[in-house]
Amino acid sequence: MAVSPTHEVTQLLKAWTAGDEQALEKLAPLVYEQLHRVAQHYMAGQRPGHTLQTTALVNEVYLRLVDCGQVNWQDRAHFFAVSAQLMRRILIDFARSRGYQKRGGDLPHVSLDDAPSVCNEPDANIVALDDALKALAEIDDRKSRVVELRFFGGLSVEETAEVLGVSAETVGRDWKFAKMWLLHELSGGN
Amino acid sequence: MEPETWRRVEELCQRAMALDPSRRAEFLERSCGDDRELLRKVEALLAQEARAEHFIESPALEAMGILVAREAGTKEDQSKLIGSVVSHYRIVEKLGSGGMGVVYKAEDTELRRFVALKFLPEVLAQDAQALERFRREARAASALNHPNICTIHEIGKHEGHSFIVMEFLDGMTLKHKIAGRPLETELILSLAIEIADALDAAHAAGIVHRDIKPANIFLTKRGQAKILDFGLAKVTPVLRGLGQAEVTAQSVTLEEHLTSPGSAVGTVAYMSPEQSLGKDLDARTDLFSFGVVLYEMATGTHPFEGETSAGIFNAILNKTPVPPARINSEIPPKFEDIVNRALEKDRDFRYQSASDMRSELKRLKRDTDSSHSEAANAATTSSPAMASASAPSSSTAILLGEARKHKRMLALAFFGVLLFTAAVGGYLYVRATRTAPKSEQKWEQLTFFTDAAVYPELSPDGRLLTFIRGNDTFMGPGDVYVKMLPSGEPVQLTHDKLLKLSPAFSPDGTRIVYGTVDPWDTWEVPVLGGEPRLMLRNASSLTWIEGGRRLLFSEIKSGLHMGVVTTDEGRGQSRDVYLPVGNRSMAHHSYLSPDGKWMLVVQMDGKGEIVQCRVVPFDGSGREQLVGPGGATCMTGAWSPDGDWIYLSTNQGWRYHIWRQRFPGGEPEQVTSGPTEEDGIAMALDGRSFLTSVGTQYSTIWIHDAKGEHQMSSEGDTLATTFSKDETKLFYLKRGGQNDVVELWRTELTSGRSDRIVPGYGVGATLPDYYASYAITEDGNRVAFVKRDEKGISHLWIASTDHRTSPQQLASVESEDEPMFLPNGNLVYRASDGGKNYVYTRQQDGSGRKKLLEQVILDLVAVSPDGRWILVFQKDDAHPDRPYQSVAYPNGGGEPTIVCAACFARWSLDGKYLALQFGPTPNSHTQTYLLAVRGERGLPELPLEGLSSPEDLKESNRETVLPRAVESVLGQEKYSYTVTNIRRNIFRIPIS
Repeated sequence: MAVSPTHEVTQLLKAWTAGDEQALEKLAPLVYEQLHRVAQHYMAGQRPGHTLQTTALVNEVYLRLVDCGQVNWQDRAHFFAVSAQLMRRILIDFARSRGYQKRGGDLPHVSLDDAPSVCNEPDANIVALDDALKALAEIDDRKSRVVELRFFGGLSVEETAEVLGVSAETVGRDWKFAKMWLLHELSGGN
Repeated sequence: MEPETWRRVEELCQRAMALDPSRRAEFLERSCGDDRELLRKVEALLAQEARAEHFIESPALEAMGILVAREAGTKEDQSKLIGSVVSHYRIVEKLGSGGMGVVYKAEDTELRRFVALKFLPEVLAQDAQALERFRREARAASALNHPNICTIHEIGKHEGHSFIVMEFLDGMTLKHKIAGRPLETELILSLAIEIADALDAAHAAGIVHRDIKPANIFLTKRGQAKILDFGLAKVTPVLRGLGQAEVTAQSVTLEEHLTSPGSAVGTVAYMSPEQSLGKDLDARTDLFSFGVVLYEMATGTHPFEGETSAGIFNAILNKTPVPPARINSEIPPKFEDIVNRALEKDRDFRYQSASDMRSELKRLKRDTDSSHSEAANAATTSSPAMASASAPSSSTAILLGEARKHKRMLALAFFGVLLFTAAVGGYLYVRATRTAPKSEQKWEQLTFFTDAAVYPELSPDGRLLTFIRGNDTFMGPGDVYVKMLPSGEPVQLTHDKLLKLSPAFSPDGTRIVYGTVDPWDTWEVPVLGGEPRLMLRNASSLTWIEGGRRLLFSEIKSGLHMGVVTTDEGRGQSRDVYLPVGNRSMAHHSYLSPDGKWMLVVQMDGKGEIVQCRVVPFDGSGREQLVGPGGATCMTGAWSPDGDWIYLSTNQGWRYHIWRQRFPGGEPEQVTSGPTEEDGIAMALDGRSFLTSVGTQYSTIWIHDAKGEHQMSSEGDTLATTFSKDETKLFYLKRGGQNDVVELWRTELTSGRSDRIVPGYGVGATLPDYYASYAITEDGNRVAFVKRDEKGISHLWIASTDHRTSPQQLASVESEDEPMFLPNGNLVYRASDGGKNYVYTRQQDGSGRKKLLEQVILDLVAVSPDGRWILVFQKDDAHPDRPYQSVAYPNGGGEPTIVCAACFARWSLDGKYLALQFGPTPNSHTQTYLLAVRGERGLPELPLEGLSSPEDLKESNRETVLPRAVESVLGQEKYSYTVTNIRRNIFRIPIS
């Protein structure tokens, strides 16, 4: 490529924040690739018990990809929003590839013996959560995005508020209610 | 769902959540009216409120990362282990894997037998505390040596992986045996009796298994039951009221379960009601789980069924199981009774001990056996019915024999195991009985670190304690810990060792917030462990007020100006409560009174000095009032629960102690005193005690020589060292004994023998002056020391160091101290005359007392070994920018030489060096500068006005820098020094 990846990503970011939706289409794969690489690196090298921070990870990718001088704060917020979406995709793909199927239809009686004691949590895994989140997006898009940004993107309440352009209070309320709804869904719904 | 409905449901939920739980039902009835469907939807969502607190609070990537890494690690390890040798065990084959690690069959190459070797999951093994708890449990369970408890032979480590070696059992687990079908009644009963017996032995030793289930009960080929995995089910304390059952080591978040379907941590279907609710557990929880196992053995099915864990919990808590006899008609009715009683939801209605269950089962078995054999005998003619009825069955005989043997062992084990007693939650009981600081027997020690624990804070229900493990009571590097009271293991929650302050619990007790320093932010970490998260920027010393609805914290307005504000949970509706005067002043901590009307503030002035505490009205009306002793530094505060008293940690001079004052309108009174220091206050809920961090200081003496550093004292609080001139002995002061007396000691350096020089005579001086409270003559035969009389006046005493004569006091009317010897044996010392201090001299027998220098001094600092120079510390009126000076006066008269502006100096014993120390600066340790003395003069090269700071030394040459404050110098490479340590631990102090 004639243009360095950094420059291209920056241009795409700016275009996207200016309203060019197509720019996102082109942006996503580039970012995805970086995120994926870094995520793999972290996940492969992790010692158990040694947690890492998603935002630190995303920051690292951001720094790698974007020429910081050219990008302003608003772009960064958008970048995080994109990253959260991409992180979600990566992790769900990863989980599916590992065979963590959603426990839904078949309610294995025998396997309950080995069922993880999820401490009052329903049997659920990230794939099931993803489906539930999609269902939530149909009813209330903003809440679904709050969950995506916070859980997949690792953003704080304040950061999420900045990205979505609402108050931190609103995010707090959305977050709490969305979690309650998700738990309800994952427990079998009605 | 329709958008309109959704909005309505959400609105109702949010409004309901804002109400007191007791008012919710009424509110919802009213708002929903006839719309039952709406009500149902709202209630279904509200039911998730508590669990939502912890749901997906940690980002997805972290959970995945842990899982993946653990999986990856395990797979690799598993394949390469077969055939290899771990310690003296050769791995033969993999037997299986459960949630708690992989089990291998191995051959003990020394004893030539097979064993089972289980590697512990990394997540557990990484946590040293969890591992230690497990070791204790396992050791205790094994010490019982019970035939129905799987013996653990060894706990070891191989290439960093911890493993346990257990007896190899040939057979299958009860789970496999049952496999969905009921067992024979006879087998059920004999197994049940064995299990009950094992549980009884364990419970008697204070061990609760907490994960009794068929998969944890092994059935040997010889028909013996063995309970497995004692100790593994319990690796962290169970915390109450959070609706949580066991979790693994603290670094694994709850969300991990979203992505790890294979990792079993506990098993839902066998949990007791109290376990599923996360309550305190005792032995009766095992009895419930045992009841479930009995049910399953008898019917082949589970008593509590559900489609999800939530469904199962619901069944455990609320539903009655199908009577076993309906599923399996062979079961005797009495057996049903036993199972039903074991499965009582209220544990007070269950069997209260495993031995009760065992005797019921044995009676049932005897009755069943005898009815069987009677039936049999009715068919045959031989065998008297008596014999078979009374003769114990084989397993019972073994049990009886074992019972006698292990009753004795139990007695032994009891005392030994008491040390390891895993009371509820697995805590060391013995620690609670360690003695409190010597003079305060009523102080209950809660932490036992050898370094320091500060900033105690209690959870809202008073059952948990959080603190910072670190040595600085205001803001220092350290980590946040939590501990269940009174005797739980402290659990480390953060691991960054950064500067922290003010930990506090969230209103629901599930999170701990703490402050960072520069930036002054508030972070939060879940009590159960997990990744800390930034909660609020520019918020320090955060607490919740008004029932948890609002926050109270300090925030920086600009630069270093920090004031107290209150906001709602999202930092909205902010109101300034108090802003200190001066744009570099910082109101660091704030404490709201129980009635919400007053706020106590800890404050730092513009120069960075902590000042007196003050109380301001919370609504901003009215002036601040200072509280506590005047002019004192006030570090922390707290209100009594009735709001009548303010408690403060403040120092009026030397040490920090707890004071209190009635508010309003009271006078400060001191609560604690003594040689310890108290800082940090957490009031107990009942107002009858408080927790504080008690600091004790102790000193150790060291010698540095060419070979390195050598500690000279192993026990006791030792300081103020002096070498003898011939370098064979070290003199020092040692504090201790019954009355905290300071005595003079001497150690012979070659033999290491130590003795008191003047037994029975305590040396008296205030802390900074210890070094000058005694002196030894050049030949080491005589000692002069200071002692205060009943009136508080200091006097000099002289004694011989060989104990031949009793010490003699030198008579004086006014105070005399800081004795030093001249080569001719005369004393030079400080004495007070008309309210001022001067240098005096006297002979050892007390005669010839006269003033040596006309100069008014503050302190006598040193006398040169050749007697030519007297070094004093005096006020300097001529120089406004340096109020004090150290000045050397020639003995016998002459012009003085200014040595430095406020330094501490002493000659080396051979007179070749002058050792100087300047005051400590914030970021550096004290150093000693050895300046070579110029022969004829007796003093080193010095600038005309003396040295102002170490910088001035760059001009002079021939100085050596030693990296610490030294006391007695023999040469550049040989000197002695004192290291002071402060140990701080959290204590509970009763309020009288």
